Amino acid sequence: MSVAVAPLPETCFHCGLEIPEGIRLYAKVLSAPRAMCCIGCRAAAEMIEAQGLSDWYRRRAAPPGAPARTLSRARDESGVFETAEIAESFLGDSDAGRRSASLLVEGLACAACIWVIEAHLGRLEGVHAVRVSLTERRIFVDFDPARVSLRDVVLRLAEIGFAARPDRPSEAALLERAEHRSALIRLGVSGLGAMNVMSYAVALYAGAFEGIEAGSVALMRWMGFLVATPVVAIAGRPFFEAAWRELRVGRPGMDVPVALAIGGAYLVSVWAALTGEGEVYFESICMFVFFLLLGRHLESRIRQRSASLSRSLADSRPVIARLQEPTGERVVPAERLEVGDRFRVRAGETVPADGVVLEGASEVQEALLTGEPWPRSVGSDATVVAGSVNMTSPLLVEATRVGDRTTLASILRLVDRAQSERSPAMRLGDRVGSIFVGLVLVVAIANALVWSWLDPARAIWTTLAVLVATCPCALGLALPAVTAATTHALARAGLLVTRAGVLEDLARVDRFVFDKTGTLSAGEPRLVAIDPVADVDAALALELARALERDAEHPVARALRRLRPGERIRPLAIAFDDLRVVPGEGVEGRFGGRRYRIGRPDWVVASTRSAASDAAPRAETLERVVPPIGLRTTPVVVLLARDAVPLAWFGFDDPLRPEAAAATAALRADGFALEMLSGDPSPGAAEVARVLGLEVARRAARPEDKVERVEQLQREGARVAVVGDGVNDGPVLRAGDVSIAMGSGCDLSRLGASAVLLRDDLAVLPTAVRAVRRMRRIAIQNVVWAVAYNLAVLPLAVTGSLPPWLAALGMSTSSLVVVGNALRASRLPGAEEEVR
Amino acid sequence: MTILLVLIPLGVVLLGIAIAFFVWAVRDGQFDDLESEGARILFEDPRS
Repeated sequence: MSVAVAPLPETCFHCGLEIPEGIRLYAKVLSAPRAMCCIGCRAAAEMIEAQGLSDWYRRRAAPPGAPARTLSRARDESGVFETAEIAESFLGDSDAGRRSASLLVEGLACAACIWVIEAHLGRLEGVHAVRVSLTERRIFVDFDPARVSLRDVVLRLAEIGFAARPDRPSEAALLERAEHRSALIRLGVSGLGAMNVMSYAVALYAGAFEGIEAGSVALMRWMGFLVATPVVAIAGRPFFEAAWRELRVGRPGMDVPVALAIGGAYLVSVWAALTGEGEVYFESICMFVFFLLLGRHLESRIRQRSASLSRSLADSRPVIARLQEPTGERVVPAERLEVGDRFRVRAGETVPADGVVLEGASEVQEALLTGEPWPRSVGSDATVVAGSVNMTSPLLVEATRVGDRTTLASILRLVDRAQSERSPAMRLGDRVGSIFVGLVLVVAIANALVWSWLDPARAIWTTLAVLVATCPCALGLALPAVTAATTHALARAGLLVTRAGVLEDLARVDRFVFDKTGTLSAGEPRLVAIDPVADVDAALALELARALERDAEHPVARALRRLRPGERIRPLAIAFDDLRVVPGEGVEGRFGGRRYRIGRPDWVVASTRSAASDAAPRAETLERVVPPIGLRTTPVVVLLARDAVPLAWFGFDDPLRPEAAAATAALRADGFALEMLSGDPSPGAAEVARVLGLEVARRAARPEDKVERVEQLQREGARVAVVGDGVNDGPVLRAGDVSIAMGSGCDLSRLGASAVLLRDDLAVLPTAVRAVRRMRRIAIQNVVWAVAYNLAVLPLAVTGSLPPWLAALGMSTSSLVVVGNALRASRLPGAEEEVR
Repeated sequence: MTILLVLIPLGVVLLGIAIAFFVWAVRDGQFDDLESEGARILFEDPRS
């Protein structure tokens, strides 16, 4: 007999989060009662409805998405901000004795969130000004410390479902902002300058055909000089600096020919303006600088956005430490710790520094560092690292590495470095560029020598024509322009690239490996059936299961804990001892001298003595653990057992994402091999693979199996893109040639991933691979065009039959062709179908 | 065509002013957050 359980409307209409157990709140929005997860959400929803702004719910991009348990968590955690020393370290001074603070906030999704936060926080007594920055995911508050505290602000935010954490802008972030601003200024100067110089140039071009007074020509030239000089000096500076750096380390890259072209053309134009002979190239220089800077700026803006997404890792940097002193415990900022200090870490707190455990036994979760979601047991003399979370009981730790020397800090540095790396294609471009520039110099010098022997008067102008004709402007723009356009288009579609070179790697991928739970499916199983086997009823079985899964963070555990319709919240009657999570298998606990297990059926009924390696008994038990008929079709089945005797089956379904079928079909049509690697042993997983037509090489793969499988594929010559959501995909994501994490996945998966699917929309994948393949085609076209053009005009320039003005015109046209071609990449392939 | 002698330098002066304003706006932080500001006007609290 199985008991059907109807699915609940389990997410909050306002914030989109799971509604916690026992909450029954409704607000009338858009003329229907909607379920709410907390009082704050209801207040916000009613406020929005009352002001006639409920259209927000139709228009917003996404719900805030912060944990609904925010408030209780914030109450526990924010207590430390009452400590004057801690609060002080986060506060800046403002006008009239007020203090200012900046808070990092989770769950900011769209403009509507800004409004809710600013309105809600602004009504708090003592708060003077609130500003929310969507780009930086920060809230800046100006408040009166006598009337309101930092803690009040944090709690007030938690009320409406936003988790916030005071934050000091790091040195690096300040530097980045300064860098960003000066890049913008350079872009503006070069853009405005280029437009003006171009208008003088048009007058000169027209004059060359229609006739023009000599005085006007001189005026236009001098004006060009006047405007182009600051453009070269201010906007062109990064190119000169980079070229100088490259020369100093003896590795000339693309910046050297670019700097040479800008500098050379500028000097020659100045000479021409002074003497009144020859041609000026001011407009070409300005346009060139402007286009180059524009490409760089667009690309860096997108990378910055990805950085702000992965910044939540930096946020988990430990904030406080409970320093043990002879006089007692004192709460200090984590960076105040020194090597040899002793500190206590309570259950649920983050370890503030690397250290050795002196007292206590507990479990620490190091998902942040290792990607392993399952906690590790630690006792005396065990090492713990900063950033890991103490799960069960207090620890006394002696610090061995603190501040910037901790493991976490060095990982963060690695991430930063990975994000600033140049891509292989850019490096290739650099190599081609340096060979090219060498050739150009040789040809130019040879040309000068030959002409000074033939006809010294023409030597300088033909040499100039050679330099201008072979200017690698088009070559310099060929790759950055198309990469920037593609990156930008994909970011708009919802795929954010986290480091350089990912797009080129993606263009070479021939196989996709998908995780199932959380990636192909929504990752939130629902309890659909309970089937008791022995002398228990469904209610007792559920009670036992909930008690066992009380603290587990596995999706199945969450599904079990969720209330059924009509059920009232009540305390758990059963308390297990020795609760233990076994990675990939389930949970075990003791009650009344009996051992209870819930999890994978074969593990649950395996006796303690017959270990997993002991094949014979395991095979025998397998026969006994076939799920009952009613649950065969349920994708996820979990068994509860007492002393290895089955008590009850629980059936869960895990609906596929609506777009999964279309996305995998499109990828297959494009010739990709598709494979599913799932840790799920149930027939449901096989069913998913069958429906979507995915290969399954490994069933019930554990994290290490997944990595091994990906490495095997790579040995066989496949280039693998791994798509996962990261709950236990951290390692396999790092193994893939390209790794794509779901935006709602955990921090680490995003950190290890080379790209992030912002809206968890798998339909972007086929679009993205088409876009990067086209990007590669366009890049090749561009390079071929640029090189062919330069080679074609070189003989003309060398023989002196190409006047410099024609060389300049050709150079500009060639660059415009390249930029225009690159812009094709900013329209995604198949975008028309999507609109419809 | 002598008017060019006035108009073109005038254009350059205006260019200089435009650039000065742009630099001021960037330093003032007006370009730091392009996403929120455009939307905020739509959500203005009538009370303040």
